[in-house]
Amino acid sequence: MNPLTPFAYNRRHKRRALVLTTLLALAVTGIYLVIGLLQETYIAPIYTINRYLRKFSLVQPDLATTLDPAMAAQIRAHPDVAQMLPQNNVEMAVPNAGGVDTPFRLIGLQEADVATVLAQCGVTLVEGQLPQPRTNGLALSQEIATALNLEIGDTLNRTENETGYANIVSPLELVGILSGDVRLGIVSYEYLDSHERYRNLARYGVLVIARPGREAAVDGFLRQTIRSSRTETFTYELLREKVTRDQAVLYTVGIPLVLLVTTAITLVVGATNRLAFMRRLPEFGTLHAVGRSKGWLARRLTLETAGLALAGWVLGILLAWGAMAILSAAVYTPKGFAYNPLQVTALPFVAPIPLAVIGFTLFTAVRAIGRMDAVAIVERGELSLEGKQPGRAGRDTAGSLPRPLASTTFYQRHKGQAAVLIGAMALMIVGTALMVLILEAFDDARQPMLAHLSRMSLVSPNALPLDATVRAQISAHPAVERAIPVYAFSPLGISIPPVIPNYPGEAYGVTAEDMAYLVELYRLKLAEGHLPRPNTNDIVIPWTFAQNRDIKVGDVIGNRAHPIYPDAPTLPSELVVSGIFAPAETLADETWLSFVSLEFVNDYQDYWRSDLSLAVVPRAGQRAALDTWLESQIAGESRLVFTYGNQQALFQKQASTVLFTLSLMESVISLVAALALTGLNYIFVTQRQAEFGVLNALGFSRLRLVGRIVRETLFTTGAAWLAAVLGCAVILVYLQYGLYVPAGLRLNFFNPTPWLYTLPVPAAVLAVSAVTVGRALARLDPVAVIERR
Amino acid sequence: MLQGEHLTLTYQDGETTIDAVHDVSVAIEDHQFIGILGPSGSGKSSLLYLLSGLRQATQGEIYLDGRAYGKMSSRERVALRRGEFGFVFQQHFLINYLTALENVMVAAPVQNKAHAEQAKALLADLGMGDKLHRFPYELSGGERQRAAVARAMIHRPRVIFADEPTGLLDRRTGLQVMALLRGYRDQGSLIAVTHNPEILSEADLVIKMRDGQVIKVEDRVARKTQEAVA
Repeated sequence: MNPLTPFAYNRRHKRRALVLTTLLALAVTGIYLVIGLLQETYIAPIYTINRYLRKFSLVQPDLATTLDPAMAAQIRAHPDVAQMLPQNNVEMAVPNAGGVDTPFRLIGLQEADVATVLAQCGVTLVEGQLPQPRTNGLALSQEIATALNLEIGDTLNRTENETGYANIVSPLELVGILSGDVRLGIVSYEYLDSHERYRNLARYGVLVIARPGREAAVDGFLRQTIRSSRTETFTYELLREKVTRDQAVLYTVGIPLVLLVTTAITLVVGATNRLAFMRRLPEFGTLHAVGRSKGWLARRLTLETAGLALAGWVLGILLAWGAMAILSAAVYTPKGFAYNPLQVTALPFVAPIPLAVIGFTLFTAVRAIGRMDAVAIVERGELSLEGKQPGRAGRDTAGSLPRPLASTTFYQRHKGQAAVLIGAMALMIVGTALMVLILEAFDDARQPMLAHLSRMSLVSPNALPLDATVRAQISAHPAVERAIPVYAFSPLGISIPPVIPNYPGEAYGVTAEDMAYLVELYRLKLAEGHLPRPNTNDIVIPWTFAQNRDIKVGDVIGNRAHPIYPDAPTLPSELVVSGIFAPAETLADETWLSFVSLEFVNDYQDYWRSDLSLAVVPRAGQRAALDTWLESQIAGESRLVFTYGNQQALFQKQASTVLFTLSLMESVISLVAALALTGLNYIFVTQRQAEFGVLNALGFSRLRLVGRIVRETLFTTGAAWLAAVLGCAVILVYLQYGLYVPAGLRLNFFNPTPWLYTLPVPAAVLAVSAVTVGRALARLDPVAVIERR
Repeated sequence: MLQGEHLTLTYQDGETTIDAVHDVSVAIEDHQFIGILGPSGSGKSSLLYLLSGLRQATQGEIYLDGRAYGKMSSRERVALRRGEFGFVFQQHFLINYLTALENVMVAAPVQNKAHAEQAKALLADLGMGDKLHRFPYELSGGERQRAAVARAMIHRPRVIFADEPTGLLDRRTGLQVMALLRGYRDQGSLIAVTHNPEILSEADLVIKMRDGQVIKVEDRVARKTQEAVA
């Protein structure tokens, strides 16, 4: 039996080993869960729901309604294409487990082709029947039906989800349930084609099946040869590219979080190791005196921690897998998005934790053991934290403090310990608030997207043009100041870092008279150039868009060959930027509206695929009444009503869903942080048993001692909170001036939400510390302390 | 003033019950110097812990000016220690991160300027006027113990309990520390526990203990009076 193995110390100090292992395990579990659940909630569903692209690809024209026959022939003639089937489709949304809508296509197939597609996908009908031609029947994969809460006989109806089912212009009845690895939604091609409103709305194209083993070749052909500004292709490779982009966003958010938590946990473990080391100086001094080299001692100390770090790491991953298995069964499976809990996406994110801990331990061990004087230790018999500390003598002798038991005195004399505690806590707090900070910044930045609805509401056609009676009815309403016919479309998108690469912006095609009215209404001022002239392809854009996409007066947008920025929409006819509006003075006054000539757009009506909408300006003080009337009386299957109220509610719903998910995830981090920091605080306090024992003997009550520790903890948590708030402010300033201002965006520094997220960690540490220290001091026996010495 | 009647302190050591103190009665008057003498394990420190309220007697009762410890709450006993008693232990038990002056101030009734001046004067009287702002690890063993003595005196307690106050000091330093403690007799009582009879040479009363029991009480004042009368 070798008593000097690295495991001997941990075996004889099980409690300490358990605390450190648990801390590390919880940190690993926390990060693993955050990253893993973000992956499974927001990234994986994109894959899951579009997995059919591994079996076939879709090709459809970008603007025209039917695929160019020559192109269809070219695809059919490709030697690696096994089959090419006609398809039409409508897009809808399926809420993922996080409550966020994920786009999903209902594919219209001719009756004869359905069996081919099912066979190609390995999908079988397990209940009901397949959609009959020219009927509104719908067959859905079991998981999608579960996610949509549908059973055979139920209908998919737009009234149930105005946003997600916006394209379901006429109810579809679920007639069949499909089973297989691929998620599918199949409707009758003929039904979509024969239905007046679906025909206007559906996209028409082809479904391409590759010969076995030639999928990559067909994918490449479709992407490189067929895909163009006029032809959309949906292939597996393109899906992968999209997912990679989304994952990059996840990494953008995840990496700083991992760095913060890893640094904090390393500091915590480092501090506890240092304390343990100080207590074990006699052991190391003796071992060195009897012939163990300092290198051997450092190695042993490091291996002891390495064992715990690796055990904590493995345990943390197992715990995370367990938690993910429970979550998958309890939350994700009922929502149709079951996943494999043994996923490894988060592994690279948790790998730095044991490495950093081991590295830091090695560094501190080498440094401390290097300074160790074995003879002094052996001569003195015992040297603990209470002993002389190198480098302190002569430095702190400048004077005595008038209140030796004040909460600041201890940390004034233990600056290193204070720095570790405050630093670790501050990092944990920033780690907790970071994602909310970024999300809220993004949310603030996109607020102007809705600002135009603050002065008017919009009634838009859905698959069918607005009929004249409705238009007359709206115009005649007593609360309506003016009803303006507009073509609403999105010729430009803006990038809102770090999460949205292309957020579509609204442009209105209006007459010159109405344009002048709207410019006045929104108090828009031209920074340069001029407003679009009638019958010209001029466009005036907001300053933010110009800044965001580096667009100048005279630039051309919508050009197929030379997009103004990567992934810019292609327009049927180019538009020339004739003017740029000046930025608003405040974020609240910012409006992101572009204008073009209605007469010009009208000439391209067929291409725009967008029928005339009605911008409804309320009379003064009548907005609420008008919006209520529009939402209750005008909104319907063929008409969409956009008011500030319903769009803001939608924004908030999306944000609060994400915020709720983040809150759940961050509460895991908070819990880990609170436990780690409380543990550290507890260790620091228990190191001072002698001090408390003597003070108690001298007549300081336990309550008073607990009060003193609470005040000290209040001091450290307060300092950490201030440091964290400062850190968050620095991040906000960076977001504002490093990312947003160059992109023409602004955020709201006074949004209280992210700041609220800085509170749970210090509050939890304070509360749990008070309880644990209180309990520890309740057992304090001053005589035992005195006699032990 | 301080009276212990039939004091017994019992504790368990594994399956064995040990009487650390067995049926001991003592009476201490104001301004007396009481020595408790005995070998290791004789129960002298236990008796000191009982008299100072750090331990509660298993049997018997202690009275301070007629107030019974047994009827006091734990809080009242703590307040008693803080207000009426001072302590000097074998180890100095100074708080390592506080200077000598701050350590003395820890026991001051109020931490204000007046008491700081008083603490400085006290330390100066004890020969540490030039070491007020030194940390314990910057002081010699004797200096640490002198600071501990100053801490025990700063609030002018009625009784100072000293548990082997010279145990870790060389003879000369030990005698110096005892001289400082004896000097406190003008202001209050001193109860010193030791196994070294030399430091009790000027005690008024010496209680000799063995196996938790008092084997002899030597009233030197009475003896001196008798000798003077004779």
